[in-house]
Amino acid sequence: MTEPVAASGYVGRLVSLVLAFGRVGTFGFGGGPSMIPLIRTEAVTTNGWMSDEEFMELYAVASSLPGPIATNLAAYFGWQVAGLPGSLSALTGLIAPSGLTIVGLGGLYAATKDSAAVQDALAGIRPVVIALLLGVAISFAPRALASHLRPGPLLKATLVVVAFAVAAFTDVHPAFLIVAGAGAGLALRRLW
Amino acid sequence: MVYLELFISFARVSLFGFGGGPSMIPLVRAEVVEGRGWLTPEAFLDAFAFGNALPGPIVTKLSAYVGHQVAGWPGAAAALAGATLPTMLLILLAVRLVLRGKENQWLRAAIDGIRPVVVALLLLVAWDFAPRALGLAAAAGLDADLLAAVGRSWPLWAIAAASLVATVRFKVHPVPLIVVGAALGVLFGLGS
Repeated sequence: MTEPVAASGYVGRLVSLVLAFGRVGTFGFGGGPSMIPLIRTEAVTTNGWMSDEEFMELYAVASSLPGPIATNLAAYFGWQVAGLPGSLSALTGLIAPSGLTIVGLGGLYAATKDSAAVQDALAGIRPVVIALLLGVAISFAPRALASHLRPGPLLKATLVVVAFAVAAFTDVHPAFLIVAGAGAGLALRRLW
Repeated sequence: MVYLELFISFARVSLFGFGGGPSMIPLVRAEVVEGRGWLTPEAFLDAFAFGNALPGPIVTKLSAYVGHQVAGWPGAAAALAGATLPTMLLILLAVRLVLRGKENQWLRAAIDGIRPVVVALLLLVAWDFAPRALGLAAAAGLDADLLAAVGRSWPLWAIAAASLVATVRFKVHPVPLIVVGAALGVLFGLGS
C-alpha cells in the first residue's frame, strides 16, 4: 500500500480517513469478509490507530452487532480519530467508489437491458448468481451449525429446515425469523 | 414520503442483519421486491450480480443502487443513511459498554440461534429465484411441462452447477464467474 498520510491537523486526519477507507472500498472485492484484512492493515499497520489485540477485540464486538461489519468498523475508527465528522469521512471513503460505480452501471443496465445481446448475457449471468447465493449459504453453514454451546449441529440443522419452511410457505418478514432465532438461541442456552 | 421509506427500509435491513453483509441479502429482497415493489425479482437479481462484481460492502452498493433507481441521488443518500447510520450509533454505544467488560454470553447465545436462520433465509433467496434463473418460470408446475422445461434449459443448469463447484470447491472469485456466464449467454443466445 502507500505511505502513511501525514495526519497533521484535524483536516489532515479527515483526509487520511477518507483515503484509508477509500482504499478498503476500492480493493475489497468479495463483500464484507474480504475487507477485514484490508481494514486491519489500514488501522494497525498504515495508520497505527490501534494495536493488533485491540483490533481483534473490536472485530469481535462489531461482528456480533447487526449491520454491515465494514461500515461499522469504518464508523468506529472515524469516531476514534476525529469524532462524528471522522465517522462520516470514513463512511464516505468506504462507500463512494463502489456506490458511484453501481449507480453508473444501473444507468447502463436500464438503457440496454432490452437489447437481445444484453438479454442473452443476463440469462447466462442469472444461473451464476444462483450458484453464488448457494455458495454464500454453504460458506455460512459450518459456523451456523457448529457451536461451542451445547445444542448440537443436529438441532441447528433442524432450525435451518424449520426456518426455511416457515419463510417459504408463509409471508412472515425475515426480521421476525431472525428475532425468533435469537429467542431459540437464548431458550436453548437456558435448557442445557 | 419516499426518502423516509428508503431510510426506514434500509435501516430495517441493517438493524436485523446479524452476521455481516451477506446475511442481509434476504432482508434487502424482502424490503425492495416484496415489501415496496421497488424492483422486480429479475432486476434485483441483476443488481445483485453487478454488486457482486464490484468491490466494497454489498449492502451499501445495493442501497445506493435501489435509492437512486427510486428517487435519484437524494434517494441514494437516504437509503445509504438508513443502511449505515443506525448501526453506526449502535457500535459507538456498544464499544463503550461491551468492549471493556467481559464477553456477553447472552448475546452469543442469541447469535447462535440467529445463524441457522440466516442460512435458511439465504437458501430461500436462491430457491425463490431459481425458477427464473434456470428457465422454469414458464412451467406451470405440471410434471411433464417441468421436465420439458428442464430439457430445454439444461445449459442454464450446467452454468449453475459449474459455478457452484467453482465458487464452493475452488473459491473462484465472483467476477470471472459472472463474466464467463455473460459470455456463454451471448455465445449461445440463452436469453431467447
